[in-house]
Amino acid sequence: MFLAIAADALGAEVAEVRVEEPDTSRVPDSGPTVASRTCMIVGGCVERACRELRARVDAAPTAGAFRDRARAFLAGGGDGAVETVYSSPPGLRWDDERYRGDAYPAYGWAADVAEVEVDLDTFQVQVTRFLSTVDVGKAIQPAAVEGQIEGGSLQALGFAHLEVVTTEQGRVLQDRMATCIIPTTLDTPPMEVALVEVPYPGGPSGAKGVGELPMDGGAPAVASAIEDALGVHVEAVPATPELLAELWLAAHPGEAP
Amino acid sequence: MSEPFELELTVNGTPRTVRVAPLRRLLDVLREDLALTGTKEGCGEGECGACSVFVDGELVNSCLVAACQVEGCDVRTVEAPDLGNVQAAFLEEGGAQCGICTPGMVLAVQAFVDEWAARGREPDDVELRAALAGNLCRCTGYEKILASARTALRRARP
Ligand code: FES
Ligand code: FES
Repeated sequence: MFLAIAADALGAEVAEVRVEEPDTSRVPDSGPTVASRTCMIVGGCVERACRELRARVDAAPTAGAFRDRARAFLAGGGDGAVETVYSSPPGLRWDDERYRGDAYPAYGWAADVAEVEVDLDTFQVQVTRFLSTVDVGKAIQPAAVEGQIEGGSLQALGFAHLEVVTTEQGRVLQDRMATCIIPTTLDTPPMEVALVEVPYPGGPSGAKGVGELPMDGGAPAVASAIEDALGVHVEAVPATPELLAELWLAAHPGEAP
Repeated sequence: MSEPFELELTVNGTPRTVRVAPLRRLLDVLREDLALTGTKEGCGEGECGACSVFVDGELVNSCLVAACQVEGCDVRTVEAPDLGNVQAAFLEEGGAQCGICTPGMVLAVQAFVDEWAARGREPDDVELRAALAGNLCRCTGYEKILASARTALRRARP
């Protein structure tokens, strides 16, 4: 993603951009890993730095591809190092000392639709279709964005009806793949992703983050679909067969499903 | 019984000999003794398929195979030179994200392509999903891996 942002801002080819090996000993502390902000914040810094670099190179009277002009610029003693620091967009107040204020200039939005089948003998749930529409601002690499949304959504479907997590004296009991049941291909419905692009002016090329968002809507969508199918309020996830049988029997005393 | 022995096997077409304990996992023989780190360890207990390799043409979980079981066998890993069609399909369709499942997925898709390329009909969605059901992926939601498999199969057809 950073390669694409940098190449776009420089007017260079993606293959010409190289990312240094990340090493926390060489960069300042940028705070916690939160809020799906890498694309928007770091990507924004990359974009601004590359624009500045391009402006410097463009100011030199040379012609040709960016790489040739950049070489000439460096050979002529030009300064090719640019440093950028994130600053909040105008109108947003954030106090980094006291950690107070508006941390979030933009939000991602999504709407998820799930279709389920519930077996009335076993209360086993199969999600049969899933659609996620997500406003990402701008999809810098659409296939990667779709992959993130599909993968995050599948985790959410796992939380919705498969992935039981219990603890005993603070220890997670599902501590291996044999007991931590994540979806296989056969538990996975065909998934559709619809990207909505409403550019956010503060992000690189209008992009917002999409990291965590796909985890949020899937489980409520599945729970709602199960409610619709069974007519009982699904009050917790994962909606295991045991939980659903309990809820159904409580709502229909003395009846068979 | 657990004395090291000279294990002779063929790996990706090349004869190899390594001195290993009989119960050493094939996964470790490949990754550590032969420095073929393409094969990944996901779970180490036969659940995830990240460690998939071919042994005499059959797809197996190399974390569950002991060195003494592959004496004289033909082993193919993700480093094998003849997986280009499947690898290209993964690249084009965006079938890899973090990459941990990818080597195993590539081999599972190759097994799927080998099985279906000569058949007269298309596999349906469930047949395709069943072929990859032994390989877990936490990143992709499988959608683009399934697309990679369809693309690879289409191109492998005569
Ligand atoms: S590492 Fe062998 S199946 Fe998971
Ligand atoms: S790409 Fe990460 S587990 Fe499949």
